[in-house]
Amino acid sequence: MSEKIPKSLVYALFFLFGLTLPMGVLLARTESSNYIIFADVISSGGAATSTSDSYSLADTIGEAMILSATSTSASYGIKAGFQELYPDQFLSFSISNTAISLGTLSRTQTKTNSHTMTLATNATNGFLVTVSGSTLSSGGNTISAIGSSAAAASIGNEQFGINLVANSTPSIGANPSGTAPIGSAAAQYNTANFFAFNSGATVASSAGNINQTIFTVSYIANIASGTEAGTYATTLTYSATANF
Amino acid sequence: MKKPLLVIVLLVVSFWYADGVTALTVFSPIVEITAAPGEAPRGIVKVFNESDQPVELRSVIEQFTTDDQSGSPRFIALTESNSFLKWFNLDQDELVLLPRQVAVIPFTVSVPPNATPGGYFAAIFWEIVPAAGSGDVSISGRVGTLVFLEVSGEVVRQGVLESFTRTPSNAIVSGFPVSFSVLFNNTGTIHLKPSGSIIITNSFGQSETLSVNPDARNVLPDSSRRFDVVWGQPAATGNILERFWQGVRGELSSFRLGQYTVTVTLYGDVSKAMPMTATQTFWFVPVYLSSIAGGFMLCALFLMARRRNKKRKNVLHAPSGK
Repeated sequence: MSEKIPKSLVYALFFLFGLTLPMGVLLARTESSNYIIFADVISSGGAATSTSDSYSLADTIGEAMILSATSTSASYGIKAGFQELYPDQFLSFSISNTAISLGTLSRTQTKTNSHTMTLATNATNGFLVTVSGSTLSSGGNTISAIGSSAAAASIGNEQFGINLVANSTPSIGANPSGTAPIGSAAAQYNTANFFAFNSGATVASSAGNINQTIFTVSYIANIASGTEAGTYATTLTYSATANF
Repeated sequence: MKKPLLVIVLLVVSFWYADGVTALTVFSPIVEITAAPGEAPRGIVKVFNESDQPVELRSVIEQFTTDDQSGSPRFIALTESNSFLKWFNLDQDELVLLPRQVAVIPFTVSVPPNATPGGYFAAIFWEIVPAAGSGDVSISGRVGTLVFLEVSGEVVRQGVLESFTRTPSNAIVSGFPVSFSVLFNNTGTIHLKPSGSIIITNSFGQSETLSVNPDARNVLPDSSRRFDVVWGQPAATGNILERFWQGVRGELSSFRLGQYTVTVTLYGDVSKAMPMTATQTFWFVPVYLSSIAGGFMLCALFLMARRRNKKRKNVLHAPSGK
């Protein structure tokens, strides 16, 4: 007696199994407590023992991991290189939250919240993080962004701003932390109790390689007596790239 | 039947892990490609899921430019004015990465036969789906590979040394550090990596050399970039006494005094083309050592004056010879 397995379950199992397989362009890191293979590859051609009277070469094709080893002439092109894995430049970036809440905005109190973002890079020219997006808005109404010049929190006046250092007024945030060398907050975002917000601005950077650096991004919002009622919200995007 | 199911599974996987911290890494964060009009070179971007969770990623390609002297990038989404972004096509613009899995994603740049030679600059970003959560402030992060594309042909490589300044700018400098700023304006059509040196020569002909842009940073066309070069040890820190002794030690370890002539020689790119020079002079007086020397002189003058007064008093009080 055999029970019929639902087709959808079979598809789902196949899909999940498929996720675990190399997808042609995918490489996987393999590690144990004793070793790390940073990447492996299913070679699509080549021979392990190409020989002549004067040389012997272990070669494969389809492993062109870099662009710099290209040699060309009118009649040929070759991605030359040994089967070598070298320490590539990297840039790593994460953000602790996908959203934060500032609560009900107030005319008598600065509303705050924060999240962290973590950067690490061995790029010789360092990294940059920019922020883009608009200020808090509700329909056609907006809360004025502080702008590119940092200013202190001012209760009773419309403000939206951020910084990346420890503050006492209001009490929120932390200085960038990590084991030196670490990245730093950008000008206008690096002074305690002063906040700014300018879409497109660089908020954190380093001039060279850094160890993992944790930045705390603090947000403040104030409203004025004339601020229109409504649900104010915004979406901000933090973009991390290498410094060029 | 298959497609809706795949979408459902993806959504389940994505939402399951949406609140977790997911770190993304790109390898080779800067890629340089040269192609002739009509060619379609291939490149690769590499992205790594650092976390212990599967992530669904999507790519975004934007132009990057710069509008300040520090080289900070400004990203511009696809518009009519940067339609070259359509030349870039990733083999996969969406993918799911398993925990600690790397993806090597090839891309093609289809340069049209009528493309104008010059530099084209694109950032290939990867962001996690869903990119942002719901709340007052939705936040998304993305990490990108910068692509410097040179379309070969009649490319204009030219630039000018816009200014060569010094901080402090006084004619007499009273201590370290002295910061030199070299402002280079790329007036051509392709990105340049200006390089050069600053030679500081004292009145006796002794000189020392500092490098300008040793990291080979790029200056994009139609933009200026400032390169700061610092001469001497960093400014002293701490309380007034700590600053004083740090300053004394610093000035003793690298003693400088007198008139200095500073010449910058800058080349427009690494091939040492387009040499440009500028010169300035200033006097250097070590403030901490000078203040000690001044203190000694004041003490000496005081002692001399006191001795003279004493002698005068002795003369006045000496018994008369009558």
